[in-house]
Amino acid sequence: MSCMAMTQLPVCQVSYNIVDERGANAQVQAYLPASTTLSDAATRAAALRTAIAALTQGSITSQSITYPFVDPVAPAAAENSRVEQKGVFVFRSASTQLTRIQIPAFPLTLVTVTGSIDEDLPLVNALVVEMVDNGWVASLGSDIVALERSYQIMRTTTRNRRARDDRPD
Amino acid sequence: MTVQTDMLGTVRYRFRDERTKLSYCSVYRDFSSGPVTWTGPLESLRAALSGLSLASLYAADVRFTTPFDWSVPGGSTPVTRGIVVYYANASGDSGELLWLPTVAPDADLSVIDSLMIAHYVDRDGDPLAERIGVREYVSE
Repeated sequence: MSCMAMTQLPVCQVSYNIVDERGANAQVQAYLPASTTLSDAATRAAALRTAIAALTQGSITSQSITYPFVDPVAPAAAENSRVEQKGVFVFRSASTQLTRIQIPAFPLTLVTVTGSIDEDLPLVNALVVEMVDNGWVASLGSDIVALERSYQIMRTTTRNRRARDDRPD
Repeated sequence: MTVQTDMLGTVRYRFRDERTKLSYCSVYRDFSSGPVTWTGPLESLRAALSGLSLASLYAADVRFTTPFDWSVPGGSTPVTRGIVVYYANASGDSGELLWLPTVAPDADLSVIDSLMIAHYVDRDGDPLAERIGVREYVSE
């Protein structure tokens, strides 16, 4: 599917997770201009966190800074697309860490009879080249260097993903 | 998994299928050498992922999460109680709410006010001008 580039929303979101003495969690959310650099956002988030920490009876366990984007003209989903149908790609990093990505609504036409993904197909190869050669990293920051394996899975359909007329009362 | 490094971002590509059911694909990238803008690698990976999904790739976000060392708090107020602070925006047509769980109604908000008005905006991106109210809430 082709589409135009993503459009940045007008804000970046700063959020904090607060836990109380019983272990229950709540979030605090505030917004900075989208043009705020990550470095400035981190500085401003830290200042607000300090101010909140001085007043809250809970503990702040984490902080997130999120920059959201939307595609206002994204193509519609194809007929019979199902997000539970995943294409799984396991990559190896320079530090030998394995990292996995899952692509929702993966086409079965790209899957072999054994359930593996045909890595010789141009669309699949384009993803592998992108992940290996374009600066993507594993979750601990080490460069991705190779595709280890790929396969298709069907995730369990959650209640929210069932058709509305097929949900138990 | 929680990303441990401040400049290491989680890029989440968001998908919606024919039934409008949602899912996403997460990848990691180090943003220490450049701004968070939708150019280059983020767009080329979007194109690659879009070619491998029957769903609509309609949105994305880049998130930086920092976990902190913490201990069980001594305060007895649950997170279902707190205050909501109302700020008007600079254009006067709307504003933003700041929900502060476990914070007492008589708390001194002067530092938070100064930070919110100096740097923060409402969710439409308009600067905040002044605090116009505080209300206690109980959500249990």
